[in-house]
Amino acid sequence: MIKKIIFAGLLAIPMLATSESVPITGTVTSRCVIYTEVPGVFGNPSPNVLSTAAADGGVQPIIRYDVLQSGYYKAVITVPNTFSSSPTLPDSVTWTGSVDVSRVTDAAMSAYSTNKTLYNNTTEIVLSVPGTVWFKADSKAEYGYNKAFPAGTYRAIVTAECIAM
Amino acid sequence: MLRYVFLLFCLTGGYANAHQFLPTYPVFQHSFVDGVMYTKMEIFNKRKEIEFYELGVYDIDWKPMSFASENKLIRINYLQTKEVNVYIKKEDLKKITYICSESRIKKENVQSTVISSRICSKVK
Repeated sequence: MIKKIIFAGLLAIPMLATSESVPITGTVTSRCVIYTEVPGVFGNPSPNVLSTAAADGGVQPIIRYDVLQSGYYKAVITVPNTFSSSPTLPDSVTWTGSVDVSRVTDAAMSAYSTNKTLYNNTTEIVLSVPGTVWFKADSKAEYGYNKAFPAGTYRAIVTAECIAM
Repeated sequence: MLRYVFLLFCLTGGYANAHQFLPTYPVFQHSFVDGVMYTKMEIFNKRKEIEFYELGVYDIDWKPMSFASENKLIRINYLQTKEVNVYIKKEDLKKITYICSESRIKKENVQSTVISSRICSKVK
């Protein structure tokens, strides 16, 4: 009888040990992460045009924004209006550009295509839906009046900002 | 089909480079020096082509404000997280609205077009 009690007791000890719980804690705070997914390349469809549009042989820069909570941040994307480096350009360059939604993870984010503020060459969008959204920037530079761009390497900068509100 | 999904992930997600700056709403505390307040910010660099981030402190009209830090131009290696202290004068506390970190691109790393990233936290 005593042997049985001791044996049952020995079996119960590990059971007691396994009943310990290990807590897992985590905190979700508001944050914004900017991912530069595709840096973009200028295509040169005609001598006086440099463009990131796929139809012009370019690659559109793609920027991804991750926000964990809604209404804490706004995305501010500025397309270039000058080259960061280029050969000497004696004539003027006309810049055009735009920013649009490329992909979304929540259907409600499609509203970003219309709910945006435009000023100068900047687009401002309040990130009102938590999740991930991809923006594509389009940039086009036209040189003089049908003048050919001088040979060389042309570089421009797209600025992606995430500003807390 | 899965192969194409994997290939698409490699082509798009595989390149992804990220910049993160926390907290969203920093709170200033008294430092060990009288009349000087400080807050701790955290920068995470997952942009392979970026090594340097510059700190900036601005008022509500985006005018730069004076501040001190260990380094205003911070070298952060790929996948490294760095904590930086931002020190300000106590009398500036009511004016300061934004603390920003902005990627700085080295000339030799510049490709055809580059994306510069800037994240700003707000002091409430």
